[in-house]
Amino acid sequence: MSCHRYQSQLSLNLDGRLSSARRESLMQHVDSCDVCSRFWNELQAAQRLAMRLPQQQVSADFRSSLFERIHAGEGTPEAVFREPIPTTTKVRYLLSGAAAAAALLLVFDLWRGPIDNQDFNVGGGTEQVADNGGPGTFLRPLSPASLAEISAQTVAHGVNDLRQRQRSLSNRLASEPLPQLRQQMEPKLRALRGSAHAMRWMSEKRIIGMPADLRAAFDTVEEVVSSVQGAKNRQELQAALERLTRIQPDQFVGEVDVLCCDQEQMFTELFSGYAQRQNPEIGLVVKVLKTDNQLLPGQPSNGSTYMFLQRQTTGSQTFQLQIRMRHSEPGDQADNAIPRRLQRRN
Amino acid sequence: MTTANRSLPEPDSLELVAFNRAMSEHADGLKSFAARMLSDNLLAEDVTQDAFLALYRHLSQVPASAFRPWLYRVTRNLCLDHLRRRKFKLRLFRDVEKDDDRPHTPEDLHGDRPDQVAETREAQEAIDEAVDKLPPRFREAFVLCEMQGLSYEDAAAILGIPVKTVSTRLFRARQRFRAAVTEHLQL
Repeated sequence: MSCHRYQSQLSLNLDGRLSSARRESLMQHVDSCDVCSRFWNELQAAQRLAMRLPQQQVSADFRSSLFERIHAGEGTPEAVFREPIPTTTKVRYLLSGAAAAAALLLVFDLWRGPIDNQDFNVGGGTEQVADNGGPGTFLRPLSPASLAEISAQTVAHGVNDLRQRQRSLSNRLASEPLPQLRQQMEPKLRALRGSAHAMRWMSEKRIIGMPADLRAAFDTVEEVVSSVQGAKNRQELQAALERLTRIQPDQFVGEVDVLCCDQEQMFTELFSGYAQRQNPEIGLVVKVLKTDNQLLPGQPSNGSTYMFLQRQTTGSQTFQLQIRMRHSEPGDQADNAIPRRLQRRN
Repeated sequence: MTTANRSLPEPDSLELVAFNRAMSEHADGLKSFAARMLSDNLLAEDVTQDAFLALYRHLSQVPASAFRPWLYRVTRNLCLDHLRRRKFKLRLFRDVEKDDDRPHTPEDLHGDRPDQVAETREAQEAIDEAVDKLPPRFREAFVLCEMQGLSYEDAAAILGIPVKTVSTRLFRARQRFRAAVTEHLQL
């Protein structure tokens, strides 16, 4: 290992982030390397300097003037929750965005029926996942802001894509068997509908706020895609597709305010809601794993499905909330089955 | 500063107790963080107050255990908003503010010899400057973790980045800070 690598380890060591074995090995190197030894001493001294820098102190009337503002009825400053999430027609198709959107569509489309065996880790960090983006795809952390951004981009991109393929779709509609055409379109439609639904759900739950016209645009997409999926014959499908392709992608330009910064709150609501659905085909098991790989009791369910995402707590422990989606299988036991992939990942 | 009134329930007594405690525990740290981001102590106090105002209005939605990272996250958003809208500020006034508003170190108050006091102040200014000169992304991680003592996980939640990114930025910040203050290090 190069001295640079050792020095990055020393930075971790300063914060007590290394195991005792690794720390011992690191200190052995420090004892034998003048460069790293000097770096270590200087790192500690620099930290002492930084920690001795005086703190700012709020003024003596901070509390009283704050309560004056509160009692005067002053509301929340608009900028408090603003994490601008511009959605534009120039959406680049990011693998990470697509993979997370695929996970999103699973989250919001549980009732749709059979789902392919797929594991998604939509947590942050550098964990690699094997998903439809291919191995090595990094998924973005699903904070409310990124969830809204991914959803909005998926809708804008999906609508744009359908508009551009309008002519070829019409030709295929005239010539291809309907079931085949439906099957091919279904994944994209589900992603569109799931993402639009996600925006509506987050808006209803006051997780995000958006202008009325932007909200209406997402509602329209959800409604029209439903019509496409529910079309009984070729004529109905044609009409619904035409409605869909008439939606202008620039309707999705706007700013979305993130009202809820609490990722835990958002996902607790989301998953507890689905855990109660008791779908006989697809259930939901929420497993909470500590970082040392011990299982803690999760929410009970019919035991056949798990999903993965990462949750960070403010306490001394970091929990990884892991969930995976798959079919029910005979012999599944609630809460006891530990998927092998889950074990290997940790 | 624009405001938006949202109709949210008034906090109950338990929530108020938690709120007051949070103010006692975190106000100074938040102001320090904001001051580092904005390089403006007066504005930092306004931003800190805005953050607590927001918390008060959303007490029913934020668990007490999450106050600290929530407040830091909100403070950061407010600072970023100010930075985006900031107009050019003359350096002259910034220097004046520094002299008036910078908190005093214990050494300043000991009544030591003027030359010693000047030397200490000079060292402190150099160290201050070393922090302020860190690139913004490194500075955030450095201030939160090194100076405010937040965990990597809390900093990651506040900044909206993975934990590993926090550790990388902190390491790089430490490298630069160490290099900038070498002559002031007491080994």
